[in-house]
Amino acid sequence: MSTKQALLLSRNFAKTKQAKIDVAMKHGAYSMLKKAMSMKPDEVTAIVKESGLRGHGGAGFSAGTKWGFIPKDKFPRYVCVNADESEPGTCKDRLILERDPHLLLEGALICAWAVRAERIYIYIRGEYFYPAKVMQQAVDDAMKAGFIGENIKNSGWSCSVHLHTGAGAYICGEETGLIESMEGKKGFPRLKPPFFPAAVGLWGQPTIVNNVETLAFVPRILEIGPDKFAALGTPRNGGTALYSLSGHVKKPGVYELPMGTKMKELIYEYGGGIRNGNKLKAVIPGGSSSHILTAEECEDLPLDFESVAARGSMLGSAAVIVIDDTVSIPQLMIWLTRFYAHESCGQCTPCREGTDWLVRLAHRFADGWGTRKDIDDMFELADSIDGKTICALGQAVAWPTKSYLQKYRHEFEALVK
Amino acid sequence: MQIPDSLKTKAEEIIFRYPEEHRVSALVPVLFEAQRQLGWIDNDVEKWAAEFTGASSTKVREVTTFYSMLRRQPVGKYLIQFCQNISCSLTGGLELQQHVQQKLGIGPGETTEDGLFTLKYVECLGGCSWAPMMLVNENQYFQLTIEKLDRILDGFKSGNPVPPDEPTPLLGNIAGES
Amino acid sequence: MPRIQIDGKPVEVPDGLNLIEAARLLNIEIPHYCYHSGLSVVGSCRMCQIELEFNGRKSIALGCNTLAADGMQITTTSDEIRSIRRAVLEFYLQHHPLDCPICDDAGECDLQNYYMEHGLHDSRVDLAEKKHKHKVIDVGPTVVLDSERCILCTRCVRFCREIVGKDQLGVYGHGSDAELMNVPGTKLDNDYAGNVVDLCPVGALTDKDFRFKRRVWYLKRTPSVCTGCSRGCNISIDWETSRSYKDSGRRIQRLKPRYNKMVNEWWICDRGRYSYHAVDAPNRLLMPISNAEEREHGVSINAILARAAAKIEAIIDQNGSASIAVLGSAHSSNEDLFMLKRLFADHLKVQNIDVNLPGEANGSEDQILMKADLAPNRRGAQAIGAVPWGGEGQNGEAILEGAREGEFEILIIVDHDLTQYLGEKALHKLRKHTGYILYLSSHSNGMSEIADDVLPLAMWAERAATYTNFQGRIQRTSQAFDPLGLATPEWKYWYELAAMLGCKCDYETPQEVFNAIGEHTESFKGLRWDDLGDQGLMLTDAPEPAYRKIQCPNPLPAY
Repeated sequence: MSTKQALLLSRNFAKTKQAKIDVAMKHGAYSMLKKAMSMKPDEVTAIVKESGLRGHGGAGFSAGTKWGFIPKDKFPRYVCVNADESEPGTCKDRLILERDPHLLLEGALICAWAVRAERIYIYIRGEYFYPAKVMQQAVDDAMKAGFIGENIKNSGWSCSVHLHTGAGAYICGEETGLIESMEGKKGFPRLKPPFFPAAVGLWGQPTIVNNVETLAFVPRILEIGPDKFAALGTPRNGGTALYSLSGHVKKPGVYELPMGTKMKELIYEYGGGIRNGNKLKAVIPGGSSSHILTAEECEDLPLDFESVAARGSMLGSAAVIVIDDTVSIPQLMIWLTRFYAHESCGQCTPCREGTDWLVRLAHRFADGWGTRKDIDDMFELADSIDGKTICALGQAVAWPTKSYLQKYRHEFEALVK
Repeated sequence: MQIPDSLKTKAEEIIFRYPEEHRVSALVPVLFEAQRQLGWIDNDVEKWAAEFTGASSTKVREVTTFYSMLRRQPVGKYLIQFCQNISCSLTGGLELQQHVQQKLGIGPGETTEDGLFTLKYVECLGGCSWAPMMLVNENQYFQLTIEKLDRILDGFKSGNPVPPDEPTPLLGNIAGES
Repeated sequence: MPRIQIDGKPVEVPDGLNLIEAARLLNIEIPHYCYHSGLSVVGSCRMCQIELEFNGRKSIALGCNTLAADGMQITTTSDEIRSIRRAVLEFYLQHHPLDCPICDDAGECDLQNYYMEHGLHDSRVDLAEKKHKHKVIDVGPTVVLDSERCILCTRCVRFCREIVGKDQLGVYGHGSDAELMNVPGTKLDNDYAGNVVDLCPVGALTDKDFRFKRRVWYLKRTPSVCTGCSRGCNISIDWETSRSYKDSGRRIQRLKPRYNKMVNEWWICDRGRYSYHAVDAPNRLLMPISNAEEREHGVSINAILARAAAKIEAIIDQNGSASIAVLGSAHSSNEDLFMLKRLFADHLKVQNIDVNLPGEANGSEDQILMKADLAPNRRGAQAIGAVPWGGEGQNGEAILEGAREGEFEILIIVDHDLTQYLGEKALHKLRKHTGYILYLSSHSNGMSEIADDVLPLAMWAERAATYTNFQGRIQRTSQAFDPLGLATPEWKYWYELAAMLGCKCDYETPQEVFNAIGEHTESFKGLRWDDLGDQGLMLTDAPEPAYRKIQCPNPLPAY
């Protein structure tokens, strides 16, 4: 194992019964909440901003900046924890929910303190039965211990925490879709502007929606200080990240590594290299919504938001899917487009109609009657969806589709009848 | 279907999480709980959920048809949700799909004649590093192989289920610390 | 007020206007499906995208969800924008059925219109690939849904929720399987359901009343005002008379709402929408009838008027004007009532004049559009003075009571069917004691059976007239087509009768009559026909009401 590993967030994952509050507290849980509550809310926000912590849900938006968007004098305010982890390739939040739920709770409570929220909702995807069970237990225990509820630790501040289960919809991971869903509606992402739910969110009130991992980092930032946290990563990419490594590596898993760790290092040093002695063909670096990178493009690529973007893709949720040379990209295209067609909420025309159309075209190549024109059509359709929709799901299907076609056009052409 | 008291009690618990003026926010969790207890959502359940949360019947129907986990028809005793997304498909999921279909003699969306299993292919279940994965009812199973799949299915058949992978096993650089 | 530029043309727009509305000020139409001025903005059709240059940044923005701000430069026709529209259209059309030849909306369909403007592509989708959805769905008593044609713009859904406050339509399912539908067990049966057909930009929602009746390009359109209640919603009459062999001569094919911010905005109620059937009803009176001469058909209007004039003259000479009573109607236009008043009150000094009868039929009333008072011009009758006067004058109730006791030698009745008010015995008594009854009506009814002489009245679609609604707004109707048979506007009868009785007026047209009202009547002082415009004017003594968005008191959110 490399010496560069920096187990920050996940350092208690392997501890037995860490989900139990007394065990967690023995390992320091809630001490940072106490510390935060001894500070002014704005000071907490400033620290988080300083740390360079960025959203680990996909967009990579600065967490501290987001918190700062809360308008003055508008109450009540809410915090929504986005535990609707469903971006293909991503499986890190599951571990936090199951193995260190109190760390998440502490982070969410610190956030609530920083923005003066009175309720926290944890929106957890319906398929996460076991994580939801663990989380509920943790909430109940924390309430008994007095970290949640009325007048928390005699501070005069009250905050409740509730679980809200989804019921199967990728789109509810989009923050405004999540809020709509929480309001008992279909999870249609909201029209922008208003751009941030921090101003108009849940039930029309200021709301902070942050990903599980993002919030779980907050207690650690208070613990080691923003400077030290920032120094762990690269400039503008503070701290570590949980990289979900999956696909054709020998040792898939969730790796906590400093932001900016090299792709090759992740795949070969940590992931143990490609399975079955095969060759690396391509990597999806940030969940299925990101542009595919060829093996050559992965050379020397540091895994932080700017570097991956500079190479024409995105770090997203840091979900790295490794693909070896046995895989046909046209086949990958079917899996990809099928997913987005299934998960399109149906609100915007280009996405609703376009994703469905892309699946049909993708199948043509596998079925042996695709044409050269179909390749061009797919590209054009993806272009017609890209950026033409309310939420980012349009881009999420368009970007990878276009990248598959651009970088592996020859594979599609080889299948042309 | 009759709405059992156990559901009513649980629904009261759920609705308590939301401010009184936003009862309708409980709609999805309440329907989800109803399905957990009753197996599926029929018109009576929809009607009850509408009355309970104050949503219109139109809104309830919009919700029950929007969320892919909510179902308006019954399923077998064990619902197998088999992930068909990228990571699972890359790591042998396709062969397992073939296998489970052959073993149970049903295709996706179908239920075995004995009413024991319903097979459903679903999109990403968030277990990519432990692919392939599936859910059987509320039980999560990771790192599936043909052998493990057989054991799990046989376990359910014989009433002696294989314990689920809870919590999710540790992999990566986190493993080994203790 | 922000100053912006659209396609190079500068325009100053009111605050809070979005770019679609701002462009309309310059007669530039930004194509759109989901946006409607009267409904909330959802921004889901993606058709209204435009190029926006603002604060030095260029972007593609939504016309519906971007408010005009000072300095914005908008391009609506660049190549990029045209290709975006083309792509969106193609997405809409990939599964759209080839129903145009049998679709009621053909000719006024925004898919067709925009396709001709921006699409003109060949289909890239095989016919066999087209997705099929449900067709001919009976969603309500007046509306049929074809969900294959539906483009999921949700205008109808939002209308029901936001304007009517009822959740009667929803979009079920998600992604490309989403389908518009009503919940089984409920119906789209609100009082405004017909509006969803007007709102539907395609042929997904069609009106049972109009379905398969006419191709829209045969229709002619005449602006008018609904006379179904005292609100006076602005409407357009869509009519066709050239093919009278169809639908047994039905001339009006449908009514559509016409925008009037202060009266009805974009909507009308179904009661008004389908009220036009009375115009071509089989019981319309086409000819004058003289019951005195054993229903001698073929009596001329002039003969009846001459007889009436002679009787009136004789009775006034004999008994004075107190033995004459005139029951006008609040369904009559301002011109009718003005001439009635001019002749009977001013010239003949008849004091027993009224338009109101206790117990006139009322309709349901709500807080959206519908008024309980089904008469379109009660306010006008009051303002013109078709009321009892002189201290001795009897009101409608007293006239009815007196008529039963044989108090009047001559009864002149417009529209009111007294057989609906009086029992058989009372009617018999009235008939026996009253020397002469002249009845004017558009339809045959119990009263036309027992009156001595009956004159046929032209109806609203057959004449130009003005009505004063409950707020005091005077609004014009226009003549769409000629009256049936010998039916004539009421004021003309009074005009002719007045001439026979020595009261010569110089009015040839309803316009001239109205202008005379403006000269002679206090509340109409100075008003002239031409000034009324297509949105009407308030009575001079009625204050302009504050603007109120037309919607129910408890609207539901869009989603």
